Amino acid sequence: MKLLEVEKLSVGIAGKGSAGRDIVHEISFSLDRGETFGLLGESGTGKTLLAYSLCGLLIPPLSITGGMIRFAGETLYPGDKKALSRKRGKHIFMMFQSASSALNPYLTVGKQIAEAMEAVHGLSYKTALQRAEMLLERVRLERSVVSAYPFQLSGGMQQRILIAIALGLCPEILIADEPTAGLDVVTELNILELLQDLKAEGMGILLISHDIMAVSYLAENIGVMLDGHLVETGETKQVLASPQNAYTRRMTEALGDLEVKIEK
Amino acid sequence: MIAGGCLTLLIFILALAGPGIAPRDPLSLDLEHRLQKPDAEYLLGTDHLGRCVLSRILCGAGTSLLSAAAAVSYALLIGIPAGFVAGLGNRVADAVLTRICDAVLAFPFLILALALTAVTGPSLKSLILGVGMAAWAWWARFVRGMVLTAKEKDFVRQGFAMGLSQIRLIRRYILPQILPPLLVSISLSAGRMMVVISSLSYLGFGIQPPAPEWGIMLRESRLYLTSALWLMMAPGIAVSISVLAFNLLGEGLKDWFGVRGSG
Amino acid sequence: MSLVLFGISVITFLTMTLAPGDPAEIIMAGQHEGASAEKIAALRKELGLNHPLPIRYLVWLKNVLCGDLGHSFRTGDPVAAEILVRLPTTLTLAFFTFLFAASVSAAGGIVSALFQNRAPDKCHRLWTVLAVSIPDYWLGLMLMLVFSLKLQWFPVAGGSGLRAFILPALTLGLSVSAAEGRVFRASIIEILSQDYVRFAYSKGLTRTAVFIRHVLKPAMLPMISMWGMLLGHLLGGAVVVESVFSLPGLGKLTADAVLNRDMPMIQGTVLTMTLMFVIAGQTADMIYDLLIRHKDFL
Repeated sequence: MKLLEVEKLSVGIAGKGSAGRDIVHEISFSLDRGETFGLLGESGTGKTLLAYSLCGLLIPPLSITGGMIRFAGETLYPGDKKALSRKRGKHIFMMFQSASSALNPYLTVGKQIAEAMEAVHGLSYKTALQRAEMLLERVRLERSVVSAYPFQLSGGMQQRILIAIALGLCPEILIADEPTAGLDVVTELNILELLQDLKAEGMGILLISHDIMAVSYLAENIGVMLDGHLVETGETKQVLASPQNAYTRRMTEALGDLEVKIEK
Repeated sequence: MIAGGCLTLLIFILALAGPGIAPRDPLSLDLEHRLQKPDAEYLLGTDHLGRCVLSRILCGAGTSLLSAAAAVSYALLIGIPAGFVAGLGNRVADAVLTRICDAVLAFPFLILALALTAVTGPSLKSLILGVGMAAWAWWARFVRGMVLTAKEKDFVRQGFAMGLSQIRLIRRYILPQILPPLLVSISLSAGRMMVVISSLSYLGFGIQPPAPEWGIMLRESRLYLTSALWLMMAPGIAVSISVLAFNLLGEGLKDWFGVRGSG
Repeated sequence: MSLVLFGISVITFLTMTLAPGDPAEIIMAGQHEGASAEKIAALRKELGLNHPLPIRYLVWLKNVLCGDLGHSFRTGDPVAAEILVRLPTTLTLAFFTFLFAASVSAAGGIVSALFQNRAPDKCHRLWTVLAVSIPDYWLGLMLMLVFSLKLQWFPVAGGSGLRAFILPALTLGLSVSAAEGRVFRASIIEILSQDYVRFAYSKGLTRTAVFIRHVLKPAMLPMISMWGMLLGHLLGGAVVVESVFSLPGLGKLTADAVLNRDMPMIQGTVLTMTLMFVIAGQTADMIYDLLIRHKDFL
């Protein structure tokens, strides 16, 4: 039994007949401690929606319309409506796509790291703030960043703040939504290395990205999403070496062409 | 939207047809029938001089609507061109106009309107002019702000880059962007103007008796607050419903156009 | 800022100076004496009316800066003294109205935003449209009728002590609280849709913590500028409401002065109220800046 098991999960607008409409269709995958599952696909295929649904963060009219989510043997869906949100933060934590809009512009970075530990681990605010400084060092930022506001930081630094929050929360499952989007190659590698550290600590990571390089760097298993369907899934090496699905094939071929051109 | 539109239309029709359908002369005195309660003959009763309240309400509708419309028009007539000049013109024009607007807007609106009315003495004309003159700066700033935002939009810059003429840019690229919020604001402001004008009339700064106007009717009837309630109710409700109509229309337009913000 | 003050002084001066009617004649007419041509000419000279406009403006400005707002055409008393006597009444009224409007609008805005598009929100929106549609002088008369004349809870007019301010503050505050409630609602809804609010949930924070720390505080910011603007509305509304309730404040003073065409008095009250409005706006801006710079307030 794996830590997180998702079976035939569908997300959409609930309703009977033509009123209802699914956007994400019957996705199944599983994830264990220290593993990474990479979810590949273009933007708009429902990857983020799937991530929101795992944290109970869908906003009506969107909701889970079918399937099952099990965490450590406990069924989170279907069942108690609050089950998913109770796991949020402490057990399942989602790093949002764009760090700049995920951080509250009116609060200092330190406060935003500390409040998470305060709420989830019951630390006193003072202790939480001290830990936040240590966490900043762990993601290779200055301690003084603790009193900075998000807009004073670069995109890469903001992404590190999200990772620092993840370190502080120490969830079993980390969902990283496009953690390297919009970053330059050097920064991208730094972020991936940090995620590698988290993985080594035993977190199960669901890595959502449209970037094959990032996914293949970190993930043992990948799934490819197209128009809300999981069109191909399997071991990373195998899928990339011999893609079965037409879309996956186009993707890997394009990557190959690009590498050839760069070598020239 | 629909409710507001219908209500506004109804009020306009009543205002236009008012003098025609009024059962009696709104000015004719009948001292034998003073302060009569509403009955079959006088549907809304009579006032302290025996005048028919219903007729006065109907005839007053035109005055109230017209004066609000006139005040808004004055303000728009100055404010919109000023806003465009400031938004599209050169820096000097913008700076000068903005400073003037700042100074005018530094006055509390009603106080400035009152002061300007006071210059020419109490009459409906000076009241309308005073209110209009106090309001134009708000419109100028509003239009300027919208023009500046519209100008910064990428597709408008693209239009500039393509070398389109200024007039064409304004007509095709900028006007369509600012028209919806402008219409919403005009509708909401018409309601506000009605409140302001009738308030000032109530205080005695506008139209003078015996002319029928809702604010002045309330002024005349305030002495009979306990003895003749109907005298208070009719004009008050008439003003409230008219203002409500404009506000509903404005709100409806806002939803219709999807305009954000408070207007 | 100084340009705005300059503009205000010019507008006030010009408005009152260009008003038709010779001040000397008006004063003479008020004194019930034989207004001979010589007397008027002498008074004109005394008032400095023979000088060109710029000179008169500078003289007037110097006097204003020294606290001399001239003498009432009607009573002959100094304008400044009269304004000082009336000021506390209006300030008290403004204070109570502010308290009422701020609390009602905050409660209304929060409830409405939390139940967006559901029954409480729809009620609140209907209520706000209704409330801004009722003219305050009529509302005042109605409140007076019900609570003073019928129920006799409050004095009809005038009266002393803070009780006299309750009905006027309600009257003045109703439309304001509705308008502010709408802005607050819009502001909260805007912030509720921000990514950082959802992310705060993702961190495992409770609903209350997210709402207070991540939603309410940013939503308060636009309200602060709004409160600065509020005083202008209150001062304008005070003219109407003080007249309805016969409260001897600045507003009633202005209304009476306009009815009597008492130009120095109008000039004085307009200038005083405008200055108060400007100061309120500046203070609000300062607080806003302070909070923006130290975003970590609360």
